[in-house]
Amino acid sequence: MTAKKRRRPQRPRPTPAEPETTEAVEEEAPQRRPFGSGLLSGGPSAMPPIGRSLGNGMLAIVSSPIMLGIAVVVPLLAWIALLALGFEGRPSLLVDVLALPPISTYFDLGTGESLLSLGPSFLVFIGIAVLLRSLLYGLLAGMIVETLEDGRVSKWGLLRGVTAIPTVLAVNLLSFSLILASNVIFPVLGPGIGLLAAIGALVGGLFFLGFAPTAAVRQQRGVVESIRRSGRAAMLPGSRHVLFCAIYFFIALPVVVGLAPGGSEITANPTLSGWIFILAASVLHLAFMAALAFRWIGVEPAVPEEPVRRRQAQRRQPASRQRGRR
Amino acid sequence: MRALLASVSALAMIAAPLLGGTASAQEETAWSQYQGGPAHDGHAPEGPEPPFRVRWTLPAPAGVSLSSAVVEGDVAITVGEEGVYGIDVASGDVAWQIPRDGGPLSVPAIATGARRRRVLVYVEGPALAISGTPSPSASASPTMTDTQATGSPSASPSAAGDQEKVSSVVAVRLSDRKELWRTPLEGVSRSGVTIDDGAVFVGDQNVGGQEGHVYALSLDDGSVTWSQQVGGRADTPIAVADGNAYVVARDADTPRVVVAAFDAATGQRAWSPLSLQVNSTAGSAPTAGGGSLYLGSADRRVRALDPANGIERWNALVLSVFSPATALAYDGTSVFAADVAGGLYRLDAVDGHRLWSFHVNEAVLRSAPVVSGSYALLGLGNGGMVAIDVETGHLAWRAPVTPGLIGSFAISTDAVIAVKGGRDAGLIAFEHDPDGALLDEPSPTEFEAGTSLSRWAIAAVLVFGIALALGLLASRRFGGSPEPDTAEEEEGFEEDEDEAGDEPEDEDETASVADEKEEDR
Repeated sequence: MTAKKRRRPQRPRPTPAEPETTEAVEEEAPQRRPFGSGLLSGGPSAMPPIGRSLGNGMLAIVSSPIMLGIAVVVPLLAWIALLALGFEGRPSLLVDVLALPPISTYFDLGTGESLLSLGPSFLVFIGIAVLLRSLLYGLLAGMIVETLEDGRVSKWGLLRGVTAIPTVLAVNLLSFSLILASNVIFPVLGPGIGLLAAIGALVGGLFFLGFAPTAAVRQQRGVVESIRRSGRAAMLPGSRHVLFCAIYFFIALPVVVGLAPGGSEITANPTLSGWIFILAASVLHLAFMAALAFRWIGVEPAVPEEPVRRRQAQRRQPASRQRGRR
Repeated sequence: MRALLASVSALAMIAAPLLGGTASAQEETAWSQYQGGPAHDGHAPEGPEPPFRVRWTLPAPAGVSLSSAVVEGDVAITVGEEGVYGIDVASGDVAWQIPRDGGPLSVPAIATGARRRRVLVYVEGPALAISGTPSPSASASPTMTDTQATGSPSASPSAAGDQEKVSSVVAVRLSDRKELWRTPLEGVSRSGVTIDDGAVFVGDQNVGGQEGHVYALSLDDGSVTWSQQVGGRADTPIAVADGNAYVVARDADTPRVVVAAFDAATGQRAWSPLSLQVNSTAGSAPTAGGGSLYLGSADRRVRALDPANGIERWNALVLSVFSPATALAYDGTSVFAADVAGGLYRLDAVDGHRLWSFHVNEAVLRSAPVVSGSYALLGLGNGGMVAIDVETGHLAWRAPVTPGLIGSFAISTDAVIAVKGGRDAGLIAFEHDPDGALLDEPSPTEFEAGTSLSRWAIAAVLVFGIALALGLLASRRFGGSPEPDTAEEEEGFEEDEDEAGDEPEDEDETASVADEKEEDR
């Protein structure tokens, strides 16, 4: 937050889609390793390391009073709104109220089902929840990007966030569809494999869609292009992005949910320790959101304009090996 | 002659209410069946009220547990694995016992039979004996001689190997515990016994456990008046009211719950079975009252059905599903339902709207709510018990937690007798404690704005303050804007860059670094 680095917010920097850029990326990336390889393993990558990403994400949130304010106010507003609708349940659920999709989608589905059971009113609830969440997450994406770029939040960041709302809406709808599909398809595989497949699908959802809001804010491309570019960024070699997503899921589900004070207690009045945990968890979710944005900003110039075909990548692999033997 | 007739008729008029009235009064006031009576409404308007204290506890005399009790005068009757026990309600002593040949524990029932004798009916067997081996306890039973002497229509099952895998319904005269009759069923029965208007109703399930029957037996001689297949296991007590018998059957294959209604006298189906396809067989036993049939199902809904045609009158959503070992209560105006998560709900019997709910935050596994006086009582999975004021929905009394769980209740005039499961299985009796004090605690689900907001405010200040302080300190330490692609402009991240091992900034640099590494190799 030093003043020396203060500058006007950057205009979105759409990378030109000239064919030569694509060719360059296609030629160079496969020379190192096949596209999509090394999702777990490390290596040279344009994407910032996980620890650095998390550190900068956390720093962006905790050093911004506005972002911290959002992290502590949103859970209260969500809780009051749910109680006003007649919700009776565990306040410990609120630990995931600001989670990244698709975990946040689970929160919406769980509260909606508890409140209304399955039926038309449930779908209406989910629709409204997805819209509200998209609005909030779109604005958050704009503010987080501005915080990372300039260390502050202004109207400019909010305006950039507004442009990302359609993309965030699409991400939320895709997450919802993913969960529905998981619940329908994976139980057929049996309790063990089905569960693993369901978890894999959720991690995959975050893996491919996680960058889309930031991409939309930064590049202001269409919904589809932002999502595509998010997927391409995730598949860049050496990014360890699967590991990043797995860490988030591990923290957001078993750790945060499992350690939440009050656990399964049904009450309308969370305890003090419960509130502290909920608010801290919300800060953590925003930090992961910012970490994703940080990773995108780092990798943005290296994201291919066009899909990189695996076959091409594999075909060129021997050349690089030969070079390596020289 | 006219004077003589007049005298006789006058005498009859005086005597009839005395004789008959005594019996009917006994039936009305006694908790003679599961949830009080054949409709299972679980309502004792004159029952004892909290605060309570423990009057006595009775460990299961044999086996691992006891069934829910019924009450006849000053005796509570419960079924154990090896016997049926009469317990003195005042002292908790075993007043008498009838040997029993094992089998699932289910609630017995008491009613007035022929010649105005009080009859106890319970289910016995199958024993865990090798098929074909006569059961020693049954053959040793002193009541067998009497059974054979009474000329029961059913054969004695004791020596018949093929009958050892099925349950039998046994009736004894309550005054001397002499066996009156014994009727084998086609499967294993867990439903308990319901008696109404001289007919005994039980349900069973076949060996596979997926198909069951409902039976109507004559209370006088045990003969099967009718039996019908139901679409699943008939393992909850059958409710009888308004001339119909209502059965909740569970089909684990589908899985679904089937609600069936039969004419109590003829066994004709009163209406087409109602299938609740809720992907679960969880659901409560049926309760009848106020011209409706009530049940809780696995889709978290309490339903009121029209007993004439099975059409749903209303449904009300609750927080969780219902244990198969529970039932609802009906006090004339309201329906009381308890879900497994520990939510107790009072619903308007007319339209199902929720009058109040109280969440005890303990599992309700084997207990069904009852209304004793003006309080709703509920046993909990942690061995506790609560009394909720029917009017306010506030907690009025809470029993200290004891090992095991508290199951269903039986209400006598001055005691509440609950079955206990788990480690200290048996019975526990509570009586009114004149020195005790009542509580007035609202449900934890009632929002207390002051408490909640102040807690949130303290938490918000703490989290906000600590996080911001750490953030500012870290900002000073690491510098300003952490945008990664401008790292070269921002000195604050030089350390990070170094630690990252000269992270390449773009694809070109990445490629050159990779090439260099390969060449080094």
